[in-house]
Amino acid sequence: MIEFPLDDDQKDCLQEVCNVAMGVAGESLAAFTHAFVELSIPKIRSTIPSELASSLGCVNDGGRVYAAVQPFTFKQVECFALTVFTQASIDDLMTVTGREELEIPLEDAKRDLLLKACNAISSSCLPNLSHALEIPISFSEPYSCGECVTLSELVLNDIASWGQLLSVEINYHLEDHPFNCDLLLLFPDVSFNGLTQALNELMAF
Amino acid sequence: MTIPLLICDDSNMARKQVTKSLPDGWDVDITYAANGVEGIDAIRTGKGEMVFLDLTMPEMDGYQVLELVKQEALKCVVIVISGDVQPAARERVLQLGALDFIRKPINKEKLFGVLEMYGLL
Repeated sequence: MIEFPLDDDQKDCLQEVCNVAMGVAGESLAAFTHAFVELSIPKIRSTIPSELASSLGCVNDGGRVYAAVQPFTFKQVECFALTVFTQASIDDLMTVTGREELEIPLEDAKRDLLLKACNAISSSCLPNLSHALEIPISFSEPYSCGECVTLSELVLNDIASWGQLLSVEINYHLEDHPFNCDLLLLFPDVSFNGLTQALNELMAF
Repeated sequence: MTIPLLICDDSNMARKQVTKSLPDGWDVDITYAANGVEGIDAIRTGKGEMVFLDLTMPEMDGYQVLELVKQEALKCVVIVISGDVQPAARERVLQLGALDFIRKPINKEKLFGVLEMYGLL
């Protein structure tokens, strides 16, 4: 049994901070897709790397996915933002962004779209998470970790060595579209002290 | 006269932030609700003539609360305080009868500005 690293108040605080950050990412996704983004309540879980893929609720329909990873540094600890799109989401994005008509190989177009969509979501979420937590967060470019693969085939070598991890799962759905993706903010166990300290400071303010 | 004020948000921290942002000395009787079901019940029983409403909540979200307020012609002034900052979300809540939309995180200045603009102080 994994011990949950946050108490109820810290969990509530992290959920609210992520709620604000995910809202800004939702605005960015809405601008990218010209659609209305349906937001859900962030789900905070404690898990281990080998069980991460199976814990993904919203995109776990047994189908294939596209995913990208964006590393970020939080209090000198490397964490990851993982964005997972169902295959139908990428196909939907191909249509709404007019990329179907471009004369480039389909898989190249989909990879480009995966990284652009990931940028629209995680690259706008992270600065706002930093602002809300009042902690500097630096991040690098996203890279693909799986295209048209099953969830268990995602290449997540960077987190495989982690022990316990905390995952914040944020689902984005587009109204009247098949689009469905999950943004996961993944914090390794070595970041828990820094994270709880930041949350405590925020609550004391 | 004391105003029955409802603060409806699923986050305890967000409810505290709204409470801390209230103008000093404002004569209100505060009721808290942690989801839309609790919120609409409070409005129906007169505990929310003024309502600060979140949108993304379990059980019943803020849009559904606004729809019920409209359907049942409940007398209350609703100001949405949400992290859902898409322009379309703002348009939707205003169409559903909300007086205004305040972007989270809330603070004293933002809330005072809106309350003063509508002559609610």
